[in-house]
Amino acid sequence: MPSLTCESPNLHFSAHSAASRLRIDNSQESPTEYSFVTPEGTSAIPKPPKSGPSFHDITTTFQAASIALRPGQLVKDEFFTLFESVGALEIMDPKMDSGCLEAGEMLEDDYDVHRELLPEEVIAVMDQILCHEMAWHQGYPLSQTVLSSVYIDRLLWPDPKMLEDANFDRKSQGLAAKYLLVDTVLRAYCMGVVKCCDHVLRKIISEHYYEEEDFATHTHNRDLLNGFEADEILLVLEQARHWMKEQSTIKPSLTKDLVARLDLRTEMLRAFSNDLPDTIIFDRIQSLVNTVRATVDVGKPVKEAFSEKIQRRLASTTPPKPVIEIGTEEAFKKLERICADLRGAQRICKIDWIDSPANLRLTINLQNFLWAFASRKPRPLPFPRAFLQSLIFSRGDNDGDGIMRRLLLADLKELTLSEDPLLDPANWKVEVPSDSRHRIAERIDSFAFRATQDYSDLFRSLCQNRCRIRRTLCHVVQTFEYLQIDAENIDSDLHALTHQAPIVNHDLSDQPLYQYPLSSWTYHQKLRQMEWIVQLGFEQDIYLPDELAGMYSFLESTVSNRINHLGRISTFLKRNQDLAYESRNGDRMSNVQKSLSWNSALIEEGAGIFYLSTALGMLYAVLNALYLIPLPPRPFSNAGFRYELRMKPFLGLSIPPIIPLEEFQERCHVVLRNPKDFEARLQSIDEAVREAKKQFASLQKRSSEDVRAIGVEESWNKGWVSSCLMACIATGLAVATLQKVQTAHCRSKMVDLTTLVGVEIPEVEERYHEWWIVPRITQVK
Amino acid sequence: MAHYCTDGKSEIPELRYVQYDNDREDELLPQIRQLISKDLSEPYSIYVYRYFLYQWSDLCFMALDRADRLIGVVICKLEPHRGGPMRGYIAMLATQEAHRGKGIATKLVSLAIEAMQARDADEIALETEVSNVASNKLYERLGFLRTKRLHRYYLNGNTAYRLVLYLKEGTALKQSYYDYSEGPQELRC
Repeated sequence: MPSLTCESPNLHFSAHSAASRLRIDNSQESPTEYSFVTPEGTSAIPKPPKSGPSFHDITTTFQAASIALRPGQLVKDEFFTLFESVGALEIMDPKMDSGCLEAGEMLEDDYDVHRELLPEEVIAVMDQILCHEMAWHQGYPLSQTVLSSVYIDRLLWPDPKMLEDANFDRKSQGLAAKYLLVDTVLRAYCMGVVKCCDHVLRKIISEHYYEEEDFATHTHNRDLLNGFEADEILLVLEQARHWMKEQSTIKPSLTKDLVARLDLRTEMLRAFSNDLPDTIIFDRIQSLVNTVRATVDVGKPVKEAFSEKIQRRLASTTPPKPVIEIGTEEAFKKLERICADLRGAQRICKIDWIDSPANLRLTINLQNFLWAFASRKPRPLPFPRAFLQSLIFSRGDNDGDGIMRRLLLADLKELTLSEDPLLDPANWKVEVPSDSRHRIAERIDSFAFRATQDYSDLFRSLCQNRCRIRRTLCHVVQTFEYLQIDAENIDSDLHALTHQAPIVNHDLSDQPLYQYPLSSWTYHQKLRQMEWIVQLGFEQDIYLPDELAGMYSFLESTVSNRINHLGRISTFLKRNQDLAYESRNGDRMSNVQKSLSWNSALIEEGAGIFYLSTALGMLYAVLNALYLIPLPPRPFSNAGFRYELRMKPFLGLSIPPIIPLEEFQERCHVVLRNPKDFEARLQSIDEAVREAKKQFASLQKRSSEDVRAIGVEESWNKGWVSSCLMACIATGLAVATLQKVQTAHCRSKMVDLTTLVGVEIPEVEERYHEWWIVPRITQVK
Repeated sequence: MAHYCTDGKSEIPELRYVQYDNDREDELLPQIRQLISKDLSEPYSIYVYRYFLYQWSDLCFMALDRADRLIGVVICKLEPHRGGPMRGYIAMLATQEAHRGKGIATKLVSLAIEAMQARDADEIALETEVSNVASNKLYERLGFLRTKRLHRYYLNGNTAYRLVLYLKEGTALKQSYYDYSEGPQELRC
């Protein structure tokens, strides 16, 4: 409480109003409508502590100082930021001052935790607590959720030193007390909830997450039974279950309902406290959720058992905020989602993505796996995302860096260095420092060492919330730019060591091509990241309708760079294929073949993206030209400024070259001089759509091994390739409508179509795929 | 931050648009606070207002009626952003509910942009709630683009867009240092 101020070197104050509002209670003013209370509610006036800092009244000094200031004058040093000013509180303002009470308002609600509850009431309290727990998972603070329960509050404060201390009746020493429903069954349930929260919290804070936006980790100075083992709490739950079964006075159906809730809590705790829970636990949770769900109506709510006023006693600077209310059905759905996502995350352990060299071809699955996981709907909550991260980065048997480095080498081998002499295991066995094989191994190792952190950051970023994926990718792409520069240097060293002859391929370049395998790999990653940044921009509605022509066009140019680059990579893979044939080694031949199949699958997918983004880019350009897309007046902006803003994430990249403003402009704003022009444009769009459809259809026929979708087949097929095909069809329909319009209205000359054609940009949930914004075009009758 | 307005066009002739004056704090600030905090569940402390008004009173514009009642207000700041471009920030914008849809907010924001332009701003940024269509439209009509989607940006759990307007060529190349924490760099409400 700032009513008495400790001597502080950083005292910032604002004159006039703050001074007049600062009313210090020990000045013995007449009774006011507000009274001061300490956080624990013990006394109106803080007594000087016996030891520790000394306090003294600064009212006079403060008033004298504030008189010297003009009204509104702000005295602050350069370190007083906006953030701090937002954190400032106004004393005696009931919305800001946590100790400020309305006239007659009590500090706490008067709820007797010793009152007997009907079994139906215990059921309702349990269900309500589950709702709060799920709201917490969603990102709301504990103070406005779980800790609003009077029972849980009692359990946790004062901090229980022994398990027996964690009860609702501190004075009569716990379990020796009455064997009542509340003290046994509700207590066990509440302890189970708190322990679940403890494990969830531990998991989340040990991985990467964003405080507040993902999750509020504040525990308000409450230890969530973290001094006790999950097994101890499980035992308490078991004892409660046992006690419950022995009751004869409670109606059997109610006994069943209560036991089901204890069982659900038991299984949840088992699942949440385990690093790798048995999937059977999730089945049990699902079946128990269904049982509990069917008996929610049995409960008789006890509203008084929850209070926002508890927040006053929690370590927090703000006055009580409303308790977050979510319905039971919503809570069950969230719990089901969490379990499904945990289970989904756990599938990663089924894919052998690291340890076995024979299965190196499966490694790339990790990237596809993470995208599939991040694309689950509804989007996974922070706990399952942290759980997945823990499975990747904190595997007990290995340090995260080691795994990432091996993964990176495997990835490299798959994309650019399949059966390449550079990765010959024999190189690592040569110990003579001057031997070029030793030096090759050393150079490859140095690249792996250099790249591991960036590579790991890429995977981490894919485990964040969707908005953050896009934002972090904008930084990751820059780190891959620097990595590419370093990789080029290492590649030059490797060329000098291998004396490998360049390849001449006139389809790709007039110049002889050197392999540059490490920088090639890095560049491919970088180009993909660029595509993702733009694609996530479509998903997140970052671009306004009149920008879509330009942004699809930009996507087209980025992916075309990647397709060309993949062609270059395949040239060198083919050389390795020849070497493998010469060796007559079946494994080697098959390995290169697999890399080549993947290479051509990537090209096919790229081509699908290329043609569909070409089609959409041209389609939006036509719609812009026909004034069918709203064009904001933008008096303070110009095309150059907007182009620069859009290209900002990519301006720091040396390659690929970014399409220049003039070209970008030309692509966004076509001129339709006459009907022929119009017709020809529509024809080109239609051709691009057909080509895109062809590519995606062919991609769909490939094996999940070819496209590296093992373990995520459904997400790959249904979630991506089929959706792309649907988007192609929808684009085709849009073009067909425009063709009809053209035939009907623009035969001999162009006419104003704004009243004849309707264009609707679908919301994200209405699209076949979030990344393809296909306009809905209708003829106005 | 708070942006309460609609994207109307017509202007009301009897309104006066004036710059904030710290000497008139007694008369103006209570009205501003009332107007802004009306739609907020958690009001800003007086420090927040003074933080802006004392340092950038020339970037705060008000629409007053004939009786000098406050009809609308815009509050901004302008300073180098993480050692990079000179960034203006539109912190608060509000118009009286009864007067929305008349272009008052557009006029206020335009005045603020012009003032920031005159003070050599490279860019202007702000956040709006994704669901606040009126406010998004208003800024987008003036030339702002969405640059980021900010997941659960507001305390009520709502998601925001960051909107940015470049005012000079080369702004994107003025490097800011990257803050890895990317914490609550601007005002959140």
